[in-house]
Amino acid sequence: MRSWLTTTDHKRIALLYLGTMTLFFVLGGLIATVIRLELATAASDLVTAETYNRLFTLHGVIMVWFFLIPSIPAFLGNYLLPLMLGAPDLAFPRLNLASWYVFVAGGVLTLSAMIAGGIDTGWTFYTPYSTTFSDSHVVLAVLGVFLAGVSSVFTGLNFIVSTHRLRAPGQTWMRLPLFVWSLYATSLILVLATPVLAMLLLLIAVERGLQIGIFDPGVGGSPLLFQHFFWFYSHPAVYIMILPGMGVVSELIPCFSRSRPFGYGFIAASSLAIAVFGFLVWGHHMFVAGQSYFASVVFSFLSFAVAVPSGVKVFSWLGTMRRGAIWLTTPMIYALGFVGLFTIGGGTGLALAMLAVDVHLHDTYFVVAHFHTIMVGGMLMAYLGGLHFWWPKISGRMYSERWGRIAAYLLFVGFLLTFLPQFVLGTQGLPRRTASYPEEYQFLQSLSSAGATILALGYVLPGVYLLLSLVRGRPAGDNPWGATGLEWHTTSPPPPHNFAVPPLVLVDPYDYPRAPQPTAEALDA
Amino acid sequence: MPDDVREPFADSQHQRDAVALGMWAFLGQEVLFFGVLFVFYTSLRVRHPELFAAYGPRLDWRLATIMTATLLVSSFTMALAVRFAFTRARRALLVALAATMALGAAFLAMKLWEYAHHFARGETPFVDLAGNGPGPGPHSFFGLYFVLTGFHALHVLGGLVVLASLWLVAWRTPAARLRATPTMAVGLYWHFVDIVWLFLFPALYLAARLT
Repeated sequence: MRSWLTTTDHKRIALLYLGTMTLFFVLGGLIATVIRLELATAASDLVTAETYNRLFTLHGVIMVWFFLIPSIPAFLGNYLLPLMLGAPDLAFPRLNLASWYVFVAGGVLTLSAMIAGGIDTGWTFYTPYSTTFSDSHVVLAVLGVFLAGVSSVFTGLNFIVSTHRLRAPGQTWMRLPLFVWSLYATSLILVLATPVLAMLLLLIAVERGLQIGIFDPGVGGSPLLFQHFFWFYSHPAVYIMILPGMGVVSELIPCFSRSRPFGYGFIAASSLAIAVFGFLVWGHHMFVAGQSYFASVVFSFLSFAVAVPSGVKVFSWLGTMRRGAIWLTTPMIYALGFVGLFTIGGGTGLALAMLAVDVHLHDTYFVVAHFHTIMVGGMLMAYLGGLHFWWPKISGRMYSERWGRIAAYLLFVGFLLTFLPQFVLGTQGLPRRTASYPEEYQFLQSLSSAGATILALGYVLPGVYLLLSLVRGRPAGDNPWGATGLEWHTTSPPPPHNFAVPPLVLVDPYDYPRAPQPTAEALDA
Repeated sequence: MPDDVREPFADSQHQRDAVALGMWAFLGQEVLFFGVLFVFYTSLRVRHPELFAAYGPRLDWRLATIMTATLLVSSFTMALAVRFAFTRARRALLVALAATMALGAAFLAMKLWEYAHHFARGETPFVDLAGNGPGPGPHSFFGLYFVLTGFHALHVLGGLVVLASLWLVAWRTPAARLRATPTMAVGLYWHFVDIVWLFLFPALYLAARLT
């Protein structure tokens, strides 16, 4: 126990993150369950409207800052980045451990806000409601999220420096795995966008705690300025969540197509392009908030521009599969689910980026469905795909392939059933964030709640069979999938300093025609 | 392996490069952190220039000039400290670090005196935000002033704490085993905090006098 809490080994810290985040995910999921139960009927009969406000706020805060943002970077990234670079650890191991402690402290503060009575501002903390009018525990919650942000900055810093300075001999930039490129792009956003949120949250605490009017229109402040700051962080934050997922999928598809990635350079460069463009589109959250018409036109155009590098990725993945031989394992099912759902999520995002359409769809269930398609359909699929792909490396055991496939298909079907009805509800004009709704929306809302039960089953199953595999799974061997990449050249799980002999890299990362064959354990599973 | 190189670095030059890059990345995020405050400043000044014209002259630009000079000299002594750390001149390093701390502390003392002075004259940022608010007024301008200079002063205070720990380490370590890398990194941070003040000084104290 003590050796875990004082470890500076990036693999152990990654597992500490996995444990903590999973707890937060379960909590956020339980809250979502209550929300879906409430929405199964038109009246607000399970919880009061007041409680409902607190539930969706906590669901958002926990899922965004305590699960999605750290999910792939702080767990899979932390575990795999040094392995993929061919390094013994990250550049600053103690800073890495500190980031976990700061993250836990932030989580404790946010949970204490929840126990004290919760917050009702929505995860967006819009002023002046959050600073003047809300009587809930805003200061505790924003300080908790502030600490989660500090932990993000620590992780991003560590990744940037490690990628620059710790590549093994021969591991040139153009030989880096695509997952590393996506983590690098993510880290740039983590380091350059998070401080804006951090300062903003401190300003809320200052305004609310000390009664200094910063965003209050009653003393000359500007609530619109708050929204600009908030989305200057929170739109790039969407890319913090999705870019690492794209990186994972860029690893899974070449491996299970037994083919080199189609357009390696384009996939790598599009990660950086998404990171850069992502900083220039925040105003598309504010089309109806009173920003200038000219600004709205520019933000609309830039939002369409960010779809280009995203499209490049989708076509690269399709091209990789087209010239490969597809092997439909559990991780590959998740990867395919990601490609399809990300395309739906991205396409509906373009609908929202159109000025005239957004006036109709703003603050409706269409927006809820859109971002859940990116976050859950995209990011969570990629996260689970990566978890299954690297589980044999991390645990040294194979999980049940049969149950893996069942869970992956359940998740896909459950997802579609939960969120497709919400797109329709949105176009019919149902506003988000209400506990009750008119009777005519009853059928689609019930359908969505029914889908959520399938989705929930899809989440519970991996928790069960992955844990079971730790005791009952067959040993995985070093490289069950016959994958390329440095992490598969060491033992499963890797030794404390990753490689018995420091690696020397001589080939590109996806040498699939000459990759080792998958082992029998993986093939007949 | 020399005792001042830790995992995962190959040698001290490698480690120094990594620490420098890490510190520059950290300062990059600090630019964005303070950037929020400067955008807040711009927003208020564009929408309410009359506040700056009315209350800007209440800030003491003479004292602020002395504070600016104090910080600039502290940057000079910090640069000397980095130099002495690299040449392992332990005694000179201790003196230069102490001088930097003394100047930083003098800056904070003047800042506190200034705050006390404003509070004594009733120039406070606090206001009852319940209801519709009293409208734009001195509390808006002084809210901006206290928030901007307050976050800067906290960064100076943080710098003093780190400088003190550097000084203690140098005090206990024989010259032959002195590590220059931490001093170099702290030096970068200290210069950055000075540069922030070089923007705050004209933006707050001088702007009203130019318009």
